[in-house]
Amino acid sequence: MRARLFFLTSFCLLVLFSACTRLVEKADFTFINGVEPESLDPAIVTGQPDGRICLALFEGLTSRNAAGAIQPGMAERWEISPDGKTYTFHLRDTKWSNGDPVTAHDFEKSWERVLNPNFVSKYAEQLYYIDRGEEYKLGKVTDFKQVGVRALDERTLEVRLKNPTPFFLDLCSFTTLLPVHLPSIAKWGDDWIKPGKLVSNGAYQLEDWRIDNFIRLKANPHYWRADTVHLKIIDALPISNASTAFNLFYAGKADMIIDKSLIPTLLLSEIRNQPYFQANPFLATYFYRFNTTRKPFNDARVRQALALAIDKERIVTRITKAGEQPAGSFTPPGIPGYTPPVGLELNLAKARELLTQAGFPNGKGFPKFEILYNNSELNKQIATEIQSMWHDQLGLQVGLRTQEWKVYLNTLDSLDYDVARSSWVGDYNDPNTFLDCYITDRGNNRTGYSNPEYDRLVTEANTLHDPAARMAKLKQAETILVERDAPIAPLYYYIGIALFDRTKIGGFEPNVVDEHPLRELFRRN
Amino acid sequence: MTSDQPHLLKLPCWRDPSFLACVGFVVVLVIAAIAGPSFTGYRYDEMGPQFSPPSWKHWCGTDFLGYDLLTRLLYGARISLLVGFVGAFVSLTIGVAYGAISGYIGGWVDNVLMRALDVLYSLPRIVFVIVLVAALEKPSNIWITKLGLHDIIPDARLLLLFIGLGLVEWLTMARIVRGQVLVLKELSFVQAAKALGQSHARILWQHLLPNMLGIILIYLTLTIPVVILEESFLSFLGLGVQAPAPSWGSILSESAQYINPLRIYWWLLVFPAGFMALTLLALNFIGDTLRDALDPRSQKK
Amino acid sequence: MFTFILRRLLLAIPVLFVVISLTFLLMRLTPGNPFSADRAIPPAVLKKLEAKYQLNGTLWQQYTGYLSDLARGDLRLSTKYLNRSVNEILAQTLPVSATLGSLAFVIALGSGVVLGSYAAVHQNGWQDRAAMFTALLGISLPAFILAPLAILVFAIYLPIFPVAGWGDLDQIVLPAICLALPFAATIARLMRTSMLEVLRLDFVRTARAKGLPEHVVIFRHALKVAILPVVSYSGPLAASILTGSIVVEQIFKIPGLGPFFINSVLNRDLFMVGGTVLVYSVTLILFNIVVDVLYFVLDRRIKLDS
Repeated sequence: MRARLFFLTSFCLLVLFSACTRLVEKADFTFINGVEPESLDPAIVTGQPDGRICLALFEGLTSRNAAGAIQPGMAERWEISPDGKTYTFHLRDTKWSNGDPVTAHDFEKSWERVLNPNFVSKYAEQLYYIDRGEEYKLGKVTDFKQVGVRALDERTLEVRLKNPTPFFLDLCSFTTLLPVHLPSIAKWGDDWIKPGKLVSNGAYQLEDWRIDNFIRLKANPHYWRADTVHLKIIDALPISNASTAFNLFYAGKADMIIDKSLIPTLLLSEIRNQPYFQANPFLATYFYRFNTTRKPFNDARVRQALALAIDKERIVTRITKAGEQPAGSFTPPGIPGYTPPVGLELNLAKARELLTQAGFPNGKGFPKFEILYNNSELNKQIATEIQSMWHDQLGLQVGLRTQEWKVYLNTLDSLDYDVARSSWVGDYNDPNTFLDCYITDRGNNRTGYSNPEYDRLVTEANTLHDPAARMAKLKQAETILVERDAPIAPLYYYIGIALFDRTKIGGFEPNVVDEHPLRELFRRN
Repeated sequence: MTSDQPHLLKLPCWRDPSFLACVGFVVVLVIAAIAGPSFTGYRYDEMGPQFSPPSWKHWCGTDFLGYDLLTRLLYGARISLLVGFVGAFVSLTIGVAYGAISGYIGGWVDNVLMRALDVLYSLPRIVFVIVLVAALEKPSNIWITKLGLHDIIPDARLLLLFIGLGLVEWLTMARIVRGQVLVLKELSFVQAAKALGQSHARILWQHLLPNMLGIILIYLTLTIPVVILEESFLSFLGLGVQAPAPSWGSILSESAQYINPLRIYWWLLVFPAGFMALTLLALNFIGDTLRDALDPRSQKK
Repeated sequence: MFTFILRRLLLAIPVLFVVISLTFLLMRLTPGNPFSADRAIPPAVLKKLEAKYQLNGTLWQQYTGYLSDLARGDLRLSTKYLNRSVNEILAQTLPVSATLGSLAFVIALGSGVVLGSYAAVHQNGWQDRAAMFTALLGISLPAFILAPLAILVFAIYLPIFPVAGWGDLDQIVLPAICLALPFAATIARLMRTSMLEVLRLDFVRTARAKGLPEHVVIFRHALKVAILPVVSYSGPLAASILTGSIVVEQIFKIPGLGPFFINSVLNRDLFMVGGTVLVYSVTLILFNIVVDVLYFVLDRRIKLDS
């Protein structure tokens, strides 16, 4: 018996040792990245944590610096035609991590890959600004030569756009437009994104990727400015539990928490007073949707009344607490050349008056309705606050309904809700990334909202070459959206939060796109 | 009708002070859960000052949203005890039926049913509850609305939890009941009933069941804490009972987030955890004591 | 013995079939699309995705297709973690969960048996009451409260263990203890009862009468018999440890199977759910057969001994 027990124990210990021994170098920098990336294929990724790794591995024609500004990337310079529709990029002489040269053909082929009708990319729309890009994707054009991308020679890429798209250089740094190494995709198939197979052209290469454990990045010696990359080995930890993330950071096991969803919201009032707290407003809005196809929310006055009765100030001071600004507009402030409209501010008298006009004096006769949100503490807390505001101020009977993420998305898409919580993060530094959503029948509309005048304004604005005139038209459209029609009620603008010790880590600058390239970071001594 | 088991209320444990204390605690808790929320002076969704420590105004302090913790705990007791009782009751119904049939019929039926039970024992049953709750929530909500049951069952989750957790916990009950039936059915009074030509259902219902009430009640007490604990596990995963009314599980999974090195709002941890631990402790203790007392072997102390 | 094992294995097949069918149907009939995201997907893309993951066609076709793939050992691709097959994810995460689980199992068994025997020997003494109170407490608090508290005390206030993570030997101790605790409590209670019974049996009295020291009587003679109920409990114990590890792995950031299971249910990652449930069930069924055989062997040896 005893001998047997001894044998059993030693066997267990043996298993333990074999599972545990990990002989790896210590990383120069470890950060907590958010949830486990779904993929590292830049043409496919949609999540912020995935994007962060992709942007460290790959570099587009342009790239962002620490301040979030667009700077030359793979292209060292470019010319734009006078009508703003043709871009000619001149690529620098640089190599992939395996030594192959980076050519204009790589870009042409990579974009062709995304636009290929058989390739599944949720973000392919980012390439629809290119002339005939959309038609090719939808199979209306079968010859890729007709699409507005052409490698003139090894180092020159010409791009023709549908309309003058002032944010195109921004888009060039976006994940979907990053180049991929096609020979290795041809060789490995879907497996090309795995360590040892992935060939990259950015500041880092993929050293290791253990699922739900860590991703290790190593500086790419072939990167064109490899000498400026300070941190040679970086570990990205996927973590989805905020308390665990904070514990690791607090115990010094991680140098930085970079994902805003990983800051324990309940602790924000404590954390925000800490020296390691870093916050900056960025292009993202928390808002409520109204289902405009359902009574009584099909009446703009009802929607206005509900929006006017929300005390946004109370929400940001009592609940979110990280220094968020109450939102009037859908587009957050901070986009150069664009001042968003004021929107509907708290005005109870007017709210009640509008409700009376709509036939519900003091909320009488107003059917009981529900606020839908996806399951999270924060959403619950905000919904509870708004529930009591609408109940106490307007006399409405409001219920709460929570659903888990996938069911919630399904409910939104099938317009099976009354009022729903939502958020939107801008993809590039331009109001269009926000306003485009509410064009009739857009996939991201999800409110049933349709106003031909709004559609016309947004579409027309994007054909204009003069930035000032364009922004004016967009503002006109947004005024209709948030003040007159109000299919949505913006609540607050998000804040990008990072936790790190500023006396130890440098190269991290607050910016509105909330992008903080890893290659810019360094350790202070 | 004869019984070889002493009457539940005549057991010696009723003279044990710690046993009485546990029974008293559970009784007080049930009363408080039913009547208490209306006496604390707050609604469970009434917002006051945030994070105020325990005081005369708020006996257990307030939480992040400024809710009165005591009110919420009492409401939570309502829901958790409800889930516990109903879940345990569902498991009892299934378990008794299964065990009784298996034991009474005997033979190959008994054999197959018991082997099936063995296999079920070895399955990660709570995993199915997770899938069940996630999968059926929306459809059952639609049905509840269609059938106009919204006022009786405000939340489909609650219903699914009753069924799901009941489905998980009936196995032990089935085994125990089968064992009892095997013994009882050989006893003379059952044989006599059989000889008199009474129907099987009647024998089961009139002769066997009353004789097993004691042991069934004991396992009911022991199943309730397990079900409450399982509800809290599901709450932690975001699949427990939903807002607005809280369950202990959902309050506690919130408390778990307050455990951090920066600042601990101790009352948000101590009171919910204390309430839950004490209740489960009391229920387990009652069940254990009764079981030991009923078990003839452990009486020869 | 051989026919017993064979019969159990044969019985497992219909059970697994029902398990898989139920999981598949539940997951497939539930609202929520595995591919939906906060950005809308064009319908054409959705169609292609469904074709890629063989989720097109009638439900019956999808179901039979899946079954035939399973029969060939192909658990298919995860719909959430692109380009990763369920087999691959399981291969990476299952050893981790198994390591944590087996250590917790050993801890639960070891400490439960010792604590239970100790309480039984000191029946009705203060040691007994203290041990049983601790055990009751252990099953009265959920793991998601115990684990963060343990981290706070033993990793942050007293930096003995690392706060979280996986890979080093010291990182496994705290989570394994947290995982084992409630089960150690259950075993202790079980052990106490059965030890009390055994201590009254004749052969123990004989051993005592022979003048053997008490610890020899307890650990050499009584334990062998008293441990039988614990052995038969270890099947359900393994099942509970498996589910319990879902919480512990999440809180300690251990790259095991638990978090994947929960996320895959929430993400409607159909084949990941199917694969996990299948692996859980198969593991436990096999484990239970082993336990039953062990029980049989132990039981016979005891009968031979006496």
